[in-house]
Amino acid sequence: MKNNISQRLGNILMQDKSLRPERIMPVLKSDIRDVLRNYGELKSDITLEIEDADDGYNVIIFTKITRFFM
Amino acid sequence: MARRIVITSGKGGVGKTTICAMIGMKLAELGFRVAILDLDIGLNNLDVVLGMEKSINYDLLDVIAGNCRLKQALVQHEKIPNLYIMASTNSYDDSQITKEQIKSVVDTLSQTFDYVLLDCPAGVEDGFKRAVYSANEAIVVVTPHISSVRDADKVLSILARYDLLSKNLVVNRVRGDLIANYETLDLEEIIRFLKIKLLGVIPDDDIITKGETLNMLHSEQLGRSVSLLVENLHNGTRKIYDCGKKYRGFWGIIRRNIKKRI
Repeated sequence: MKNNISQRLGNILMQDKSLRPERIMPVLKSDIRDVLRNYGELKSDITLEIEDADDGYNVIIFTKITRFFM
Repeated sequence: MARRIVITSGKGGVGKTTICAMIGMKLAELGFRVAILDLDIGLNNLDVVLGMEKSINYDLLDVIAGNCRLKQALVQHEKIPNLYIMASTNSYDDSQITKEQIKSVVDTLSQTFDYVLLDCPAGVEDGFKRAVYSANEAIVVVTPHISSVRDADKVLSILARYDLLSKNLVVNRVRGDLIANYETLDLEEIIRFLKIKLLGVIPDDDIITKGETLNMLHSEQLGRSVSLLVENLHNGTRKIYDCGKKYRGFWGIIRRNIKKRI
């Protein structure tokens, strides 16, 4: 029973995300921003591009950051 | 400066307003000055949940329209003097309220309170955006149901666009017997799907259904769960109330069977 409910929720969330892949962008941006801030100071907004590839997507990240903190 | 926390969910009916009220009451009881702002325009219920509906003379719209001073719309709780609320308006037309106006009210409140809690409306439309815009932290409330977790997942993807200091999860209406019987989502699964820090767990309790607001914090299990939640919120501890404790082991099986038959 537990697996049924959990599996159903997993399928629904997966379906939601695959129907609108662009929704992942703000989440990715936020995570990337958090990670990069630990290493340096962001000097520009983060731009993401998702390109169709044969075996999935290429995710390209553009941003400017100061030299990493030592 | 106050911590400004928006309590949101996406889905309606998961208990945002009740949790907002309980967190506010507990923080105020601990000695913090707390203001709760009802941002559910047209469907305002915070005043009712706190039993303060008769004390409301001015509301948020009056402050924004300049019909009264901010202090006049802030109502102090009769029995918890550190707790203040600002009611939302009964008017269904929220088109004249902007996120900047709300932020200005929140900015002013932040100067005199320790905590400003923002009770967010359901949905992810303008009302939601107005509430989140003024906050610097978010608490996402879910129930252990698929529809609620699905909506929370969508809300979290929208919250990622805002520069929030923290996003935490509260799971409401948790039933230990159903978790033990594998009849509902358990906490680990919800966290695994939403990938967010768990701030607290609130058990399903008849006191909430009966609307006995002031007794909420004096109920053994509800009071304990809210205390731990508030401790986690204020001190950053990670103590989570165990709703399933009495439904495990030999006696737990008997309790579950009795509950099933009732």
